[in-house]
Amino acid sequence: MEPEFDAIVVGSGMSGGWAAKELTERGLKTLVIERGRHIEHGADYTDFDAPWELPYLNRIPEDEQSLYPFASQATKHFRMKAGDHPYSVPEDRPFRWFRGYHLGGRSLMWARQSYRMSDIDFEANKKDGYGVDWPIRYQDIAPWYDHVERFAGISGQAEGLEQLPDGVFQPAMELNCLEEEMKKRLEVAYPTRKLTIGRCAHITEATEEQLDLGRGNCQYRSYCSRGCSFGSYFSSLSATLPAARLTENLTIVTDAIGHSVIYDPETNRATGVRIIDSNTKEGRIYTGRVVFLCASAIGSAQIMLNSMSDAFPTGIANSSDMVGRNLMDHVSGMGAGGSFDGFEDMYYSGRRPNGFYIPRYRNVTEDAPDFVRGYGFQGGCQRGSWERGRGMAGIGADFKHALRTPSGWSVWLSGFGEMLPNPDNRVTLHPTKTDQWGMAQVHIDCTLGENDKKLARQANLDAVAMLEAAGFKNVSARGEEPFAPGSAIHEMGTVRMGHDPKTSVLNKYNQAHDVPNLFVTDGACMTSTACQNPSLTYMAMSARAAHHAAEFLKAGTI
Amino acid sequence: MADRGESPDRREVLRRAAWLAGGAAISQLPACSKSVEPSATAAPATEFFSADEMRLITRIADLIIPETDTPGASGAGVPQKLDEMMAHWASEETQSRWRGVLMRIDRAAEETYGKSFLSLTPARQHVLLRMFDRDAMHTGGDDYHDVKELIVSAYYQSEVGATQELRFELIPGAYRGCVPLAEIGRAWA
Repeated sequence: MEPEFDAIVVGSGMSGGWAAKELTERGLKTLVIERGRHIEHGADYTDFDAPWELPYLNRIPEDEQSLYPFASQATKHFRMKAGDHPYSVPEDRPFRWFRGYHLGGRSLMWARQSYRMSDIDFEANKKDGYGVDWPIRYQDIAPWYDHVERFAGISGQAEGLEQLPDGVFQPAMELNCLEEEMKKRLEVAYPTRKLTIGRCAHITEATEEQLDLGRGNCQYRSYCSRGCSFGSYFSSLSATLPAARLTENLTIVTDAIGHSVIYDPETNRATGVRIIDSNTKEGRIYTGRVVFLCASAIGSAQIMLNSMSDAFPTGIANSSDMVGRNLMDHVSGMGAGGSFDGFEDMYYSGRRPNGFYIPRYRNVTEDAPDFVRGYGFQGGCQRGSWERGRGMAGIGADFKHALRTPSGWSVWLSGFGEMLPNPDNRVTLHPTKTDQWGMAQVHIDCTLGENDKKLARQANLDAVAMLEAAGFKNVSARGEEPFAPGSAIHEMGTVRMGHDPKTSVLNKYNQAHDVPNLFVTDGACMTSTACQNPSLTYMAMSARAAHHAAEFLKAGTI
Repeated sequence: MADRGESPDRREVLRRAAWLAGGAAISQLPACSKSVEPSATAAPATEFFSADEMRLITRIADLIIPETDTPGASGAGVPQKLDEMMAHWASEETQSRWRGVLMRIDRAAEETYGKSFLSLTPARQHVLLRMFDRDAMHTGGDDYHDVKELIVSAYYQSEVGATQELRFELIPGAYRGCVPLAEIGRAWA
């Protein structure tokens, strides 16, 4: 029996979109399976709705709010209804798992910050002994960073930093007046720290390739979370899936929940993927020569754990017992805010969907008191608008007139720290609980470690000190305790790469040590988290792995 | 600014006040309770507010955000938006809290001037609401916060409020980081 497809990709988000593009462009008939519903680029977005056109002032009706946390009318279509997709956690160890079950996945919900990892990150595990060594170094992935940046469109400013390699950048967005002032003062107070404009996946000077795909420049509306009809920010729907479609090698099946990977012990190969139709709840099998799991860190681990056979009783390619272990997220919830006296006569025009970035300096150019690794800060300066009137005393013409002028300047800083791998932070299949399709629910047991907490404490202290040094007033830290893991929505590490099949699941090509035609290229593959937003690395990993998978297929080695 | 509120039927106001005094009974109200007696002034069709309540909330919204060189709350369609929000967005609890705030404002008028709020001169209405607003906004958790919050939001998220009063653009097209405020003139570029 010939397989129906050359390649099967499970998941259509950041990683799945890239895998699909690269595999189809290499001539492979590729099937993309997406558990969520179909979404049409543009037609299913709400980004052209003016504030007065959105139902109920863009608010979810009060009686439904508990079903759609964090959503507005304009973003509800990208949110899952609470309770539809349950998972369990130990009572005292919360984990926040945010998902996007629709075509394009969380590539429609991301914050678009795009940073390269450096050799400081790839060497970290080996140097300080946490986790296992990455099987790759920066030079292995650098050309793939180039490749994905050129296609995606990343705007940013080259800074020549060892810890944050420069990339292929489109013109940087502007800092505003106060951010420029803050940069000056900060870099005087802390000569080895840097404030740069965020590097973000927004087109600022569209290339021919981007224009040909129907993508154009950012229009500075800042309605990204509703979907972007201009295709200005990178998503699977604006960029990778359209490119894959052009090859005529792409098939997409939505409403198909990845259940398990089918394994043939005679050939030691994955032969296909079993799915459950989310509408009919019936099972189906698709066959292929190579399988890419791009279902997100927890999703891909769940599918692997659920792929049990005599050869792999605890899940496919899990001879190391590492599948589901070492779950990490960036340490988040740290930071500070403050106000600034001055620049009252200055403002900005347009809504920039981007802020500034303060790259990591701890354990790079400055020692840390009592922890390894480090953190970076995102932030921004702005003036308030009419919203302050909602809580302001006063009525009448004076009240109305006061709200015509923007309020004073304020700043926010938000830290993202590196979380260390720990095999006890773990995703397992729940022994008894199932979802509405009869699949075992995941049980997520993950908590911050000592180093993670120490780092968070120092990030708060640093944030306050930096704002005070830059002349801000009324400075206060964001909170005593970091957020529960999962909150940064950067979950990773559950199917890690490594040199040794005994302690890792994937090799340097994102290929399972145990099953050579099974690849995992989403956040699951990450051997450590670094502190940079990880999507750009997932893109580069996925493109690189797809390239190698196609080569191996051609050579007949898988 | 013309005072558009004619004296409502005071008996009706008081009857409703007595009827609602229990508080708990409020949630039993049908969502579309209409004024029982036809009123002298034609009020716009409402789904949630009675004709009297609609006149009162309209007046309150216009006192908070009056017509100046740009339209005020009424001119921006705020009262109709509030009625829609109450009918379709608000929980029963919120609906009853709103009715409670309207009653308290009317009661403040009765206590201060011996008349319903809408029977007062515009100047007195302004003074009374300004005091009520000041006290309520300085008291944490007063239900009036939510009423004011929604009035302000409905105004500035309306086409009039966003584009005539302020400088909202749906598609700015560009970002300039450093612009003299005088060049834009108002908030929300």
